[in-house]
Amino acid sequence: MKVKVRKFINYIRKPQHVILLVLLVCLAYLVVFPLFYIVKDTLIVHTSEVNRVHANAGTLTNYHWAKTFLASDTFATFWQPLLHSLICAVLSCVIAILVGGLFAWLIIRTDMHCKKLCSTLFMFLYIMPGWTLAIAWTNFFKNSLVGGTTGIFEAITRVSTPNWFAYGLFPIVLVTGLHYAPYAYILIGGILKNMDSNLEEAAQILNVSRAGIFVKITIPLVKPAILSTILLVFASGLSVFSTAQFLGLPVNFYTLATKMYSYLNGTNPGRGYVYAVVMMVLSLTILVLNQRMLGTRKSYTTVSGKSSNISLTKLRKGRKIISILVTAFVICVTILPFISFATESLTQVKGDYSLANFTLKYWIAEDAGIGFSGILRNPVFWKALKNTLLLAVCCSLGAGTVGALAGYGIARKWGSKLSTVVNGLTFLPYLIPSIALSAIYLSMFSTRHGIIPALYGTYGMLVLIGVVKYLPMASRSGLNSMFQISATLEESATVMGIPWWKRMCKILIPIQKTSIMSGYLLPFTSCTREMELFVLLYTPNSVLLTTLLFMYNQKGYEQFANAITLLIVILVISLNALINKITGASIDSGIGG
Amino acid sequence: MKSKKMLAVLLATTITAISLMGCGSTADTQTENTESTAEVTEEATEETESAEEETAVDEMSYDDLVAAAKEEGSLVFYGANSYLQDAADNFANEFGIKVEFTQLGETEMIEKVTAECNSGAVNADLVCAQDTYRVAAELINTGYAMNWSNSRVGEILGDSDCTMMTWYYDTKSFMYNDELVGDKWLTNLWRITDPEYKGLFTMKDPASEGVNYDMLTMLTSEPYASKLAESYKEYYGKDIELTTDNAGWEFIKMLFENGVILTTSDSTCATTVGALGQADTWIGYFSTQRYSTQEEKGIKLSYDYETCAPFAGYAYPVYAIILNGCSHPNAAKLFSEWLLSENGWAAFNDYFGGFSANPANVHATDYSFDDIKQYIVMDDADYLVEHRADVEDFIETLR
Amino acid sequence: MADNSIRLINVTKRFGKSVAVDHLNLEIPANSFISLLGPSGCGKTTTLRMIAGLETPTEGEIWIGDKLVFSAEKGIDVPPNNRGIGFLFQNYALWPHMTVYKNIAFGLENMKWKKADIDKKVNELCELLQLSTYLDRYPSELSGGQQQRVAIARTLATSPQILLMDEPLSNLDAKLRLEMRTELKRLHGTTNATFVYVTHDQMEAMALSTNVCLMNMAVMQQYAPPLKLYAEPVNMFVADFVGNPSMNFVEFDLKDQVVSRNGVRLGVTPVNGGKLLKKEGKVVLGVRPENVKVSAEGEISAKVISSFPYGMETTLVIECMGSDMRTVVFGSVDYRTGEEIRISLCHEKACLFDGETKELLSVVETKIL
Repeated sequence: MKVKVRKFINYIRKPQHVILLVLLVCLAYLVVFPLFYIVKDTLIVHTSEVNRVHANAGTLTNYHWAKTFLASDTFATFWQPLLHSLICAVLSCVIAILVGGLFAWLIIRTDMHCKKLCSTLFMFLYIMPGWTLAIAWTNFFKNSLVGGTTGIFEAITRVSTPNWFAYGLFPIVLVTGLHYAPYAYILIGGILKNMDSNLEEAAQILNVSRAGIFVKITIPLVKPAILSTILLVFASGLSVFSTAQFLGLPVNFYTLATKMYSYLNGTNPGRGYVYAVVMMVLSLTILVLNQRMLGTRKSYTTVSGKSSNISLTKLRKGRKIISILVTAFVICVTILPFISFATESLTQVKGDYSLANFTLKYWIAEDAGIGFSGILRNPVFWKALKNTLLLAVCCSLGAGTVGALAGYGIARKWGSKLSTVVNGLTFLPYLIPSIALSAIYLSMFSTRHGIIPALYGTYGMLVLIGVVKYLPMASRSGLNSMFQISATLEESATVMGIPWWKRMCKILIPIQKTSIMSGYLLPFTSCTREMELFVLLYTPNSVLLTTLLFMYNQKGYEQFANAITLLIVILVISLNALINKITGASIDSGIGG
Repeated sequence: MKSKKMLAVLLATTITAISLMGCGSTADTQTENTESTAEVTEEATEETESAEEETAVDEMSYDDLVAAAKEEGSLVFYGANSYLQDAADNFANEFGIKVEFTQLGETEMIEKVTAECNSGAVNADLVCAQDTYRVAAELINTGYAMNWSNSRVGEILGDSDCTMMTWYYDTKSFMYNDELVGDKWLTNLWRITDPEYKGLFTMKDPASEGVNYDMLTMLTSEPYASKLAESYKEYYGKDIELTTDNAGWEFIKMLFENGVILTTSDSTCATTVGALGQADTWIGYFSTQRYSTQEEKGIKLSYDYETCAPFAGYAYPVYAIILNGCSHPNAAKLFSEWLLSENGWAAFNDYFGGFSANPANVHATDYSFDDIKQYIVMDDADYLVEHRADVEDFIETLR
Repeated sequence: MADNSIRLINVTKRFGKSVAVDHLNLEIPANSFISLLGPSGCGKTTTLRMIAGLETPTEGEIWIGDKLVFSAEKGIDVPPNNRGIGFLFQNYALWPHMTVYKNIAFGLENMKWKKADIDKKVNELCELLQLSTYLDRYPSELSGGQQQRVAIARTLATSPQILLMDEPLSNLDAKLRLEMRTELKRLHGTTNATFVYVTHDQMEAMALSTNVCLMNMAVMQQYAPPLKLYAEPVNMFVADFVGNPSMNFVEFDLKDQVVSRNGVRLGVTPVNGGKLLKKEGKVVLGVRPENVKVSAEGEISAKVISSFPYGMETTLVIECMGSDMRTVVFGSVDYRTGEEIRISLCHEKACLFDGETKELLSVVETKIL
């Protein structure tokens, strides 16, 4: 008995064990338990369902599952949204990889002009929230077929855009794909950059054709990057919510996520939870498939060799035209949205872009109609801004710190069961769709569970879910940074009796500060622009810029919505640039994990 | 014991209630109980209130209520209507009580309030909610709403129970753009389902606007379903062929099959219908209030109450509901009572299509509330509770 | 001075299913210089890290002096910093963000030494290791040898009674290695600490240590002073691993203290005067190259396959008795490929191994019959 206690003390004395055990317990409660909890939610009668199920609240029922899978309308209400989600996911992947991969090749492997500008602007697509493009899209291509005012495009060209072009699947896929294209660019580009051209030149000497080299050598080498892009984009495409909400609703185009939201916010939340379960099962399936195709995670590192030998492909005659096309494209998808937000926030009567119709009242007027003052005078806006920044700081501190510690613990015990399990757990929230995660947390933290108080309505609730959701990013960059430095650097200090916190603060963190900083930076920027995660959970006390925008958008206060969108985008991009400048950590350095 | 507790609560929350403490509760139990005010309030109100308690609440004079409210100093409330901001400002100016108003979407508001009450972290004191079905199911039946009554309110509304106090009626109407067709064009509602006008009707998605579900649900009830059947015959010259239970259901079905455009807001519907220079004439169903802002928005709208068969709109009550366990119950009570007064209604004096529950207050519309009752569909809480889920599911299959 | 001997009792380390160290028993006397030698993956580094406390053994006990620092059974595991050791890493593990001075001083600062004392100690060490001019440089600005010396200085700064070294010289070029070997031997003399040294280079192990512990496949093969290891290897693995050029192994048939092959018959007499335990069967005769004497009077004929003249001596690969053998001829001589020579195995020491178990039967003296 005494021996066991002593052994336990010996075990616990090592900080990596403590970190892993604490993480195991916390993540089990915050990530694994919810998965079961939500299943329970699909099996009980909720208060708003009493008149529907004709049973008391809290009693067990199979109503939700039966309704989802056995009712006569199950095609329209379940299978079709599911199909839409899957199509969205697949096509978004294709677009992201084609656009991102092509872009990576052009930037890294050719002698194109304006590389710096294009590369910087292209990153905006990822830094800007995904739904901003959706809003920009409607600003431009709104058509009169769905009624009312038309977008900028029709105002200029007098050509009415067809419905399929303005709303529904096409723009959703395009917007989602474009949003994640920079991600593909970073991953694929990283490999193209680190891949020794010798590998390709060796084939060239053997007289393999250019196409042959591309198919047989280049593609297989970037396969790991492509697969991990697929994992991310597929999971995101599957759960795309705000974009689908903005672009799908006018033409009754539903995905699993938007359908789930409408159930959760309506009178049948139980069914919404069924959809959440389905979404999670799908995401997990993708993860498993991805892991299987990838073999082990080690494949990531097989390619990163010396980066010295990069031979640039000459574009020859096409150089100028390609440069112009690419630059024009990048400007179209990044700068034009800004202009559209600004324009829309300044027009009094929608659809009228004559100068007389422009007004600043939605920005600065005392009374801008419908009982509101202009956005810059609106106390709610300032409150939301303050809340957003505070939340971003809290989430980034939380996720960044936990992520760095997790990375440390996992790396130190790499290969052990505990480490493998915790590593898997920290990655899991990545695959739980934001909107599903918030649905679970809404249900889980609405009431007191043992010693865990009801967190709903508190600011801590938002911080908690933010930390959990962004933990994968942070722990990935934490893990990467710990893998990059040899364990002996720490061990040499251990032998000298340097206490753990000092080893962290004086040795590990200073050496890897850029990498660790990006573990903080990523959650920060993501949090500033996050909508889906918080839209179910915010309360009037904790209103955020994005949820305020969502509300304005839903209410049809388009000038306000556009003004806030513009401010959010500017805020996110300038914060990103600022942090980049101060710390040298950049968003792309962390994504690569 | 219960009544003692209740009294203790009152003591804790109001100063004036001290004068009522004649029934002999000892000072000890009072102080002991005040420590867990919120908890006790909940407990106490879960019980059906005894007559004695009602009188106890009722006995608070207006002046006492004002004093108690001022003592609490502030009020937090949610609502869907942006005019409430002005009302909030007016109230704050009149009583010097700080008011924090948050505008939320209807469904969102119900979600948030039930979650708040469920978790015990009740932030809002009062909500101005309108979705009768969900208010009844999720705030009243769950016991989240505070049971209280007020005889002064009773004098105005004819019912002193304020648990689900209606303070005004809002209306939504079927409107169209009269730019091309002139007024008195919408003579029959079945035009909406006419394939000739396919894809030219818009309303806010009922999934995010409960009162739209309520309206559609009411169509399936009598006498509205029969009226719809009659006007169908007027429009097409033949009896309606039913594939569903009645003409109301059939109307909903045809509405969706004819490509209704569902939006996220009434404003969007209004601009969709009213935008100038369109080749087609759109019909929309949205808040009557939008009629009055058409010039500002640069749109053109019209509606015909008297000539549109069988009806041209829908009226629904907007409730002021105080939440159990809230921090400022007296301010909330005062606010509820004040909303019915002339000053309380002042912010809504030119709110087109809204009617104070207090008949003495003015209204911006040409019609009085009694007048329009004959032209529009009225809300029936009992019917809604019974049938709305069916309508929701039915619409699900039509999307 | 504290007792700085080390004792490992039945120490086993398993990583999952694979065994890294298998029931190792090892006594390291105080103030000795021990090498843990073996091919890569044999468990030598794991053993060193277990002594340091950086790795937790699965079973067994470890004693440092009279202090039990690890016992799986009793649940004792003294953390590295309380074991009074210094550890020198293969990659030096210098902190890249600290200067040479800071690298050396960090441990002392942590021990709350006074600034002046630290200065004194660092300067003393830098003098000893000829680092004085590099104090303000960062590790990346130093050559490999300088980095190595900084690492040593850092390790010595806290005056550990036991110094554990994990292939500290493997990253250096050949010339520097020789210099550093001298340095290490000198340090061992001046510090009076127990040195435990991990290497896969048998020459280094032989040259440096008082005792060599040779390991293979997680199991200790032999633990003996270098020369004993050389002369009396307990099995063919040890015999083959130690010595360069390595020992010649020739299979023979044994019968009554006589081995024969291809018509050559050799009498084998155990040098310790005893009897051979094995009477007959397959045996392997192991002869060190220097004991294969090339001489005109040799009894056995051989043919030169290749010749490597090094100046001081010449290594020959020859074909003899139907087998390839290596031999060393001292002095500046060269041979043509294909040249016929004669060799002698008379009155030479050789090791006789069992053909099946590969274990040493006896060290014998050979005689041509």
